[in-house]
Amino acid sequence: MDGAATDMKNPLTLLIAILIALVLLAYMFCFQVRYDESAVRTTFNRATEADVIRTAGLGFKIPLVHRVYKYPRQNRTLEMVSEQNNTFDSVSVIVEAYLVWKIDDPLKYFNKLKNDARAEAALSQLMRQVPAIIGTYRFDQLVNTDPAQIRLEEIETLAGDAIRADLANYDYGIEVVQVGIRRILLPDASTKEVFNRMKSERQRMAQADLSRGEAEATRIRSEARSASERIMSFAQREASLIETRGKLQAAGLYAAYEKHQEFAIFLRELEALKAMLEKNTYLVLDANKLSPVNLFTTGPGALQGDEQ
Amino acid sequence: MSQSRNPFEHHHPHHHHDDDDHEAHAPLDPAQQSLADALRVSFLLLKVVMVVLVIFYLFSGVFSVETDHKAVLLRFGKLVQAYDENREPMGVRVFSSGVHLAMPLPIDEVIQIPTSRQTVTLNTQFYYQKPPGMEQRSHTELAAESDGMGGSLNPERDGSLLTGDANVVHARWTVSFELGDTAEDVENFVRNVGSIDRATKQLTIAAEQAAVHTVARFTADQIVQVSAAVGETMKPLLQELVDQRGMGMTILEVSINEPNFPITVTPSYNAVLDARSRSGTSINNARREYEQVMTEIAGSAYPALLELIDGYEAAVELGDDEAAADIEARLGEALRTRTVEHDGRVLEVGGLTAQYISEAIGARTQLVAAVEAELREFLGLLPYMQEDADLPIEQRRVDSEALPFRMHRLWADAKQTIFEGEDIELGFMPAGQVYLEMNRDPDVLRRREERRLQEEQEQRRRQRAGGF
Repeated sequence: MDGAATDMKNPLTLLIAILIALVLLAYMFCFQVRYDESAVRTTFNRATEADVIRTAGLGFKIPLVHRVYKYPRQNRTLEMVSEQNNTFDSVSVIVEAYLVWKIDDPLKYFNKLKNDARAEAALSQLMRQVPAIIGTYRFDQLVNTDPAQIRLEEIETLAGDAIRADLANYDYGIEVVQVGIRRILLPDASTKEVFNRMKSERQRMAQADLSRGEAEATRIRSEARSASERIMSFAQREASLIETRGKLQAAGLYAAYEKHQEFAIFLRELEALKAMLEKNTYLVLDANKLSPVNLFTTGPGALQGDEQ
Repeated sequence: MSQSRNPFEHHHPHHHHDDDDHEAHAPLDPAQQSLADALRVSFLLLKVVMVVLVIFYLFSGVFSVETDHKAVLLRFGKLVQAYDENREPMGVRVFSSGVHLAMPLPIDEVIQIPTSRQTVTLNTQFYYQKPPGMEQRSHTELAAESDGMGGSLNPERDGSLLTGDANVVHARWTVSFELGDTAEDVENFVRNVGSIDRATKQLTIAAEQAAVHTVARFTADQIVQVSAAVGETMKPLLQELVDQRGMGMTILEVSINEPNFPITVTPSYNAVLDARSRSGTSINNARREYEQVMTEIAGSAYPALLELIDGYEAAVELGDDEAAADIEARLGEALRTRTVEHDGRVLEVGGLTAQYISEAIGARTQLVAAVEAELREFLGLLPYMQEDADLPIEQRRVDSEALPFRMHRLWADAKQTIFEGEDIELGFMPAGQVYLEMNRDPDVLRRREERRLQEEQEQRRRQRAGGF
C-alpha cells in the first residue's frame, strides 16, 4: 500500500497516467477529417452549415450529443442497368451507361439522402434519361466507319447535361462529373440477323477475292506474252538488220569477180553442185559408163543427162 | 519514503495512542509483507512495460518507402505540404524511397502508392461466354465445331462490340498504366483516386467506354486483322478520360487480345482468308511465270528493254519522230552490244533475244567470212586459170578433156566429194533398161529422219519462246 501510494506520486508514472487519460479523452472528444472527406457534425441529428467541415484536420465533438457523418469527396462511379431501346431509325440496341459523381454539398446530401444507397437509387432513376436521348439518334450515329458521323460523345454530353438539370430540381448535394457509354449490345434476335448478313458478306468477299486473283493472274500472263512479243519483235528486226548488213558487205566483195565472171561462175557451180548433192540424193549411173574417166564426162553442164 | 522535515518545527518522537498511527508504524506480518512486495514488483514491471510501450509508440511513426513506391503523409488527416525556401507551399510533399520520420498514428498516417507498371484487363465485358465444359477450348476449336453453336448472343451473358460497319466482334483488352511522374500527378491521384484498387475499378470502366468509342469507327475486319492500330487509337482516348478526371495516371499501352468474329461467323471469315491466300498464290505464280518468261526472252535486262520500247511507242504515238529515232537507236545499240544501262547499272541482255542477235551476228560473220574465203580461193586460182585464156569457153564446158588441167582437176575433186557423201545412194542402170527397182539405204533414211526431227524440235522451241 505504501509502495502504491509512493508510485503514484512518482512524476513519471503520473505523466504516463495523464497521457493515457488525454488519449482517452481525445478519442472521446475529437475526430479527424481526412483530406478526401467532408464531415457533418450533427447535434441530436440536426446540422446547419456551420456544422459542415470541409477542410482536413481535427474536429471536436461532445459524446452522446454530437454525431459525425463523414462523406468521401472523391469521384465515384455508378453503372446503369441494361436497357433495350430503339434508335431513331428503329434499330434495337441495348445501351449500358455509367456516370461519375461526387458529393459537392455534404449538408444537403445529409439532409436529403444521408447515405450512398439512397444516392445511387436516386441517380439510377435519373439515368433513365440516357435511353431516351439515344432514341433521338440514328444507328449510324452510334457506329460508323466515318468517325465524323459518330455522335457518341455528343450523346454522353447531352445525357450528362440532362441529368444535371434534373438533379438541380432535387438539390441532393451531388455533382455529376461525367456520363459515359460503356457497352452497346444488340438483342438476341438482332444478332442472328447480323450473323447471317456477316456470313453472306464474307462468302461474297471470298468469291470476289478469288475472281480478283484469277483476273490479275490472267492479266500478268497476258502482259508477259505481250512484253515478250514486243521484245522479240525488236530483236528479230535487229537480227534481220545485222544479216542484211552482212549481205551488203558480202555483196561488196563480189565486185572483185566482175572481171573474171566465167571462172567465178564455174567455181560457184561446182560448190552449188556439191551442196545440192550432199543430202537426200539417189544417183543412177549408166552401167556402160562405169569408167571413172567416163563418169560425168561432159562436165557440169552434162550432169542433167546422167543425174536422177 | 521519508517525509521532508520543516527545520523550524519541533520534532521529537511522540507516542500517540491513535490506532491509525499505531497501525502505520506497526510492522507487517509476513503475509502482508509478501503482498506488498508483490505489488511493488508488479507496479515496477508495469512501469517498465509502459515506458517501453510509450517509447515504441513514439517511434512507430518511422516508415520506409520501397523503391517502386511513393508516399504522402497525412497529419490529422491533412496532406502534409512541401515548402520552398521562402516557406511558400509547393504542393503535397512526396516521399521517395528510403526511411522517413513521422509521428505515430493517429497523428500521422502514411499512404504508399506503387509507381510500378500496373495492368487492367477487360476479359469478359466484350467476349462471349463459352458453353459449359468448353471453357478451356480455344475460339478456333469452337468455331471449327460450331455446328449451329453461337448462332446468336445473349446480351445478359455474352459481351460483344459493335463495329463501324454494323458488325459484331469479340475482343479482350489489356491496359497498362502507372502513376504520373510529377508531384502534381501524385497529388491528383491521392485526392481523386486514393488507392490502386480504386484506380483499377475506375480505369476499367473508362477503358470500356474508350473501347466502345474506338471500335465504333473501325470495320470488323480491321479490328480482327489490324489490331495494333486499334490499340494505338484507343490509347489517347483513354488518356483523355483519365486526365479529365484528374487521376494523375499515365496510360502506357493499350492492346487488344484475341479479336475474333462470332463463333458461327468465323468459318466464313476463314474462308475469306483462304480465298485471299489462294488469290495471292495465283498472282504470285503468275508473277513468277512472268519473271521466268521475260528472263528466258531477255535475261535480267528485260525491264530496261521494256522501258525503252514503251518510250519508243509513246514517241511514235505522239508523232515525235526525232525522239522515236533516238530511242530506236539506243534500243538497237543495246541489242547489238547485248548490254543496257538502267538506273545507273549496266545490265546484260540474255535469253532468246541475245541468242537471236548472236545468231544473226554469227550468220553475218559466217557469210562474210565464207565470201572472203571464196574470194581468196578465187584470187589464188585466178593466175593459173588466166594461162588458159586462149581456149574458147564452150569447149571448156562441153568437153571435159578440153578443160584446162587445173579446171579439170577442180571438177574431178568435186565429183569425188559428191560420191563420198554419206547421204548419197548410187544405183546402176544396165543398158536398155527403162525401169528401176530401188532399195533405199536404211542408214541414210535414218539419218534423214533424225535430221528432220531435230529441225522440227528447234522450230517448235523457237515458236514456244517467241509466241508466249
